Amino acid sequence: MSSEALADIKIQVEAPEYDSGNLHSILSEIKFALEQLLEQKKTHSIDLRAMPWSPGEEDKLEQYLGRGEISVELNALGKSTFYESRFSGIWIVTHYNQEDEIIGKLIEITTMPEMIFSQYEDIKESLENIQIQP
Amino acid sequence: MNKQTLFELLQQQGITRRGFMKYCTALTSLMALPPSMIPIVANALESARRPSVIWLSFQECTGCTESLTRSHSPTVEGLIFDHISLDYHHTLQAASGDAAEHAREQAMKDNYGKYLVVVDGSIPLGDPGYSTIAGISNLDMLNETVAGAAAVIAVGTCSAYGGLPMADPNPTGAVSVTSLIKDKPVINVPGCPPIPTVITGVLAHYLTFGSIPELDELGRPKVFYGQSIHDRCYRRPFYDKGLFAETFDDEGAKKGWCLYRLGCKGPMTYNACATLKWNQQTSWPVESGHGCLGCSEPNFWDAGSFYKALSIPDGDYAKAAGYAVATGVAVGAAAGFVNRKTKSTAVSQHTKVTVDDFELNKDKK
Amino acid sequence: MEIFSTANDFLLWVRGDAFNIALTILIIGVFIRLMEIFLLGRKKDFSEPRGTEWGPGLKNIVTRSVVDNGTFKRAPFVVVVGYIWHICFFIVLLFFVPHIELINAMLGIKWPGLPSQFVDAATVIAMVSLIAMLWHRLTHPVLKFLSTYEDYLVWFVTFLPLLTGYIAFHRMIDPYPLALGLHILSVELLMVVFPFTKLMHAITLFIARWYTGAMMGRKGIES
Repeated sequence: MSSEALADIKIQVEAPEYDSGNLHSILSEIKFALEQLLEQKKTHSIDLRAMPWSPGEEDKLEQYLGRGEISVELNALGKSTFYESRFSGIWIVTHYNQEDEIIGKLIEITTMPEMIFSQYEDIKESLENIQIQP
Repeated sequence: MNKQTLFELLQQQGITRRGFMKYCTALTSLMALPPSMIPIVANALESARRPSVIWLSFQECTGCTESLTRSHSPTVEGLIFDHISLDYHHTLQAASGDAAEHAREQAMKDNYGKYLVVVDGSIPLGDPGYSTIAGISNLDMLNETVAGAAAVIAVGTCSAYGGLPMADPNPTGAVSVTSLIKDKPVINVPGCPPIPTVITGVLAHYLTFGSIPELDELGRPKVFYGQSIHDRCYRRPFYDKGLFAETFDDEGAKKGWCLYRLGCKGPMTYNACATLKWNQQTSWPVESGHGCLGCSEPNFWDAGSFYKALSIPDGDYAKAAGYAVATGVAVGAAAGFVNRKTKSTAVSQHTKVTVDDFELNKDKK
Repeated sequence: MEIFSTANDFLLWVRGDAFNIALTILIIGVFIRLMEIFLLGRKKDFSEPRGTEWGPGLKNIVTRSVVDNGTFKRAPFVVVVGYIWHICFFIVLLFFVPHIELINAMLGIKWPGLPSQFVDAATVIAMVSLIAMLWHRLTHPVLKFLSTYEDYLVWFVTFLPLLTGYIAFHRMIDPYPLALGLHILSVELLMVVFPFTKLMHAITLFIARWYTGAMMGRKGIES
């Protein structure tokens, strides 16, 4: 079953009227990491799939972080999306497999996610393959 | 064991460095390791070789295999063809009969001392006839196959602890893998069924690092079974506030309050459902409004009603109490009458003291 | 040699057979003690009294909960700490939701519980007051002289459920089934010891107070 089919099911998620503390702790971690990035150029990643989210909580986080100026799509072993949140330096990275199921979701606190850069291993291969007279 | 490393295999398939790093990211998340471990995982995977895996199904319901085939990240196809060399699994493999058994024997011979054995289902010791494969008893097949294995992974509560077949009165004399295999490392991956990504996560750990993960006292990998459902439950704040659902359709249930009173076994159950969840991270039992059954704990089938709160005694205490009241009254009455007798005897033997008794010089008079 | 192969087996035994054994001993013991007391009987009263027994008897059960001035002046420590201990103990016993669930299952009655942080605080205060009372017993020369092994046994079996409950609630022992099992086992120890020691005061105090009240309520000469 693909994720679209799952999303098509009309279910109503009622967000509980309490605070599980997950948002507070993750935003604190993000803020601290952002300070570290600014002062020491240290990057940080958070695996969003390792959080005990309550229903609707993850959406709430994404809504709060919002969308910023840039988004990138990668196609390698399925789709991956990278976009900067409305807060500069905070990126939301989602990896899909060939069946369009999410296989990884992270928040990266960095100037640019490492994977967006051209990789030297691939550049080397390009150099071997490129022909002067096509 | 396959000569090619996993990295070489992926390269052959035309997968770029980015693809490889993405794969490593997913795998790190799958193994429940922090993202800071991604470079280390990548490093290890560059030289990792696909281990040969022999999967033995004994007294089981195929639920664990069903769960595994729904492991979405990475897909089971990817898992079987890329990560491991699944050389024997009598439900999934195309070959049958002698050819299937031959595949198992060949894999054992080729990879002696290096292959992994995955077991789902318990082993009947009462009468081997309860479960056989190709005329071989489960016990014989287990012993024979494990002899040359590097490690054993007991998938599912049945193979990890005995599970449903071992539940009272245990008609087949079922036992767990750990009670039989003492000379090889055994990793228990309990659950009824286990979370699919936990099964693949454990396999991925072995594939990546060539070692078994850190285990708890019940032989379960700590990364997945290190914390209780209760500790990671998003409904925990309600437990602490004293807000509980008392029926499955009351106001508390609708508001998503704690399910302790409805028999949730979350406090005593160690598993990763609260974080990894089920069905592509859609939900998990507590999120769907039902308490945890404790399926990753030993003897969960015999641990009393699923709907009885954990603090309630499990035995027939009403009967015990009834007998106790009767006995207490009877013995108490007997003791009371003995006491009365003692008292009345004392009264009857009582002689009155007169002034004369106190006259010290009575004799001299 | 292991008696229980897993912590779960231990918890199962504690919640099953062990609880039944403890409950049986508790009930038999309490009934023996009560029957003994009631069957001692009172002398038949041939004269007609004025006034009644029941009203003053019941009233006395309540009014004797208030400390009289003399007792307070003689032993303020015992009175104050004793009150704190008993109040906190009853908060823990009667208002922790898992305990209410147990009472509901056994007696079919229930009431709202308190937030667990509150119960947690009461547990700590109860434990501290018990330790303070033990310290008082050990340092007060007269009390120390009067204390028998039973006094220390009673202190121990009362303190243990609080300690193990605190440990289980904060999950200080791993795995949790072991922690919970130890807590229930310590309560079962208390249940077994209860009828045969001065812990029985939890029941007999009502009889004693009623009797005193009834005697005081009686007016007239006794035959």
